[in-house]
Parts: sequence; C-alpha cells; structure tokens
Amino acid sequence: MRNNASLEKMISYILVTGVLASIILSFLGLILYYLENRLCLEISFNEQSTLLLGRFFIQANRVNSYTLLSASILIVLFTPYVRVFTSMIYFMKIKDYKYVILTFTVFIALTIMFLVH
Amino acid sequence: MDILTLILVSIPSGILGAIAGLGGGVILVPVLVMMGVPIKYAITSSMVAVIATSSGSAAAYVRRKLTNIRVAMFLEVFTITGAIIGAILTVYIPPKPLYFIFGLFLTASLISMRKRISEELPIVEKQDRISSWLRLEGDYFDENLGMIVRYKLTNALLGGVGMVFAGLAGGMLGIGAGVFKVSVFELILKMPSKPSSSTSNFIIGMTALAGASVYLFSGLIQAYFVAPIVTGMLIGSMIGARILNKLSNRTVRIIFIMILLYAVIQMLYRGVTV
Repeated sequence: MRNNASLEKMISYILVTGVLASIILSFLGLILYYLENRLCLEISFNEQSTLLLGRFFIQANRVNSYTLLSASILIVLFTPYVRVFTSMIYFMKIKDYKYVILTFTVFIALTIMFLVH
Repeated sequence: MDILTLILVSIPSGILGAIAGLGGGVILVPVLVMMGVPIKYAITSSMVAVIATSSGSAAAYVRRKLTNIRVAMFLEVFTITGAIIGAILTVYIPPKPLYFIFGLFLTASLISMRKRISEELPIVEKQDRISSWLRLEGDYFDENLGMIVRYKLTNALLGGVGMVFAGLAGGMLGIGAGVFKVSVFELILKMPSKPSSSTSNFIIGMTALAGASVYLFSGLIQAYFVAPIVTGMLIGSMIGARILNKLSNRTVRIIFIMILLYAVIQMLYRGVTV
C-alpha cells in the first residue's frame, strides 16, 4: 500500500495553519471590538457588521475589528478549499491518477459553486 | 447577548461535534435559538462553525491517522454532488416532506446502530472490487484498546449512493448532515467508529462550505456574531479531538446514538411544525 504519510503531514499542516491563524485573528479582532466599543462586549445584528467581500477588500488595509474578524471567518471558510487543491497537487506528484480525478472533480465543483454565486 | 457567552456556549458543541463526527450544528442551532438569536442567523453561523469544527478536529485527527484521507477524497465527490443537486432541488420541493423522508432515513440508521451498540470493531472479511481498487483501507493506533487497528471497507458504490443522499440532505436542509455521513460510514462501509467520526468531520467541512458560500455571497454572515462562535467551536473541536481516541468505540457509538435520536426528534418535529 502506498504510504500517505507526506499527504497527511501536508494536510495537517494546512489545517493547523488555518485554524491557528483564524483563532489569533479572531482574538485580536474581539479585543479591538471591546476597545472600539468602550469596553462593551454586547453585540447586535446590523448591516454594518455584515461580512461582505467587497466591503472587506475595501477596508482590508485598515486594522479594525471588522477586518480582523472578517479575515478570521474567511480563513475558516477557505481552509477546506486550499486542502483540496493541495491534495490534488500531491496526487499529481505521486502520479496516483484515480485520486487526481477525484480531487480535481471536487475542486472544480467547489470553484464553480463560488463562481456561480 | 455578549461575545464571551457566545464563545462559551459554542465550546461544548465543538467538543461533541468533534467526537461524534457531526460538525456540531445540530447542537448549536437550538441553543442559539433558545438564547433568542433569530433562526436565520443561527443557521448561517452554524454553517460556518461546522467548517471550523471540521478543520479544528481534522488538524489533530489527520496527524494521528484517525482520518482516512483516501476514503474522504473518494466520498467527497458524492457528497458534493448531492449537496449541489440538493441546493437546486430546494427551489422546487417544499420542505415538509423532506423532513419526513430524512427523518425516516435517520430512524432506520438509529435502529441499525442500536443493534450494533456492543460491537467494538466491525470485521470485513472480503472487500468488494471497487473498494479494493481504490484501496479503501487504513490503520490507526487506538489509545483505548492499546493496539493498532487495521480495517478494510466494503460496499464502496453503495456508500457513494449513501453519501449523495447525505449531500442531498445537507443541500436541501442547509445542514452539514454529519449524522447521515457517520451512518453511511458505519452501516454501509463498515468503518470502525473512531475513523468514521474523524473522516466524517473531515468531509463535513466540504459540504458545509457549499452552504456557507451561499450565505457569504448573499450577505447573511454577521462578522461580530459569527467570529466568537467560530472561535468557541475551534477551541471545542480541538479539545474533542484529544478526547476521541481515548474513548472506546462503544462509547463513541452511544454518544452518536443519543445525538442521532435527538436529530430524529428534531427532524420530525420540524416536519410537523414547518
């Protein structure tokens, strides 16, 4: 049986990086939120706090609670996408074409889904 | 409602989600609704949180070889297909019968799981040709049994069909559908409980991503509300991932059956009240 150790190591690395980056950004964002709101932790639902890609990219060069928390959520959302892409490259590298086809199908399905929206 | 409360209530959902292979949405949504969160925000946040549980627990499971990556990659194709078809069909099919159909499937799973409650490890004597061709097998060190468990899966195609159904449930009901996936792993593919939970968690992130992307592009994700939940779920899932391998397969199955029973009641209740 072909050893999956390097694939497991690579995927684990991607997931740990995604998870840690998200937690760190989230904690920093929540601290900033606490400071921006005069030491208040209460939240409410409003249009201003909606995560919109356009708004996020416009504000991306600013460090505030909205951009940090949005970045944290986006990292969580895109981590599985990155790991599918990486797996596909891995299977290409080891020439395991059955799994190249499988991962490529998933990758394309996800990409189309994003593009359709 | 404040940020600290959201983090704290999300941690147990992350722990249970990681252990049972469910993502945790089935537990989180009712808790948030009880706290007075509008249902639409409870569902959208749970979808993102399920991805967090998936990545948080998988980070540990993959390293410990509990997640079977090849099995996951094979079944992801089916579950994604189901999720996309489900999302399209939602427009044409009313939700009421769906809850009953999926509720029925879960009831059948519940009955089958109960029969296997005392079984520690399933035994597959002979793999079918497709499972063998795709090398759907693996091994992991079971901390509770103190030994390396080697296992082989069977019924690859039927498992694929089951995963399309799980994807359909996810796409049509807007859930991660972990209860469906674990049922397929254990009952059709004959996978041991721990790799079932961890591999389901790995796949569930992909199905949830399909749903979450819809919410993201529709502007339904509230950053200040979702971020603390995601943080709590990530912390919970990492704790859960440390616990799973120390439990017996029987305990994992009992936890799953309890959540499955709860999911059946919830599904049928929604079918009646929707």
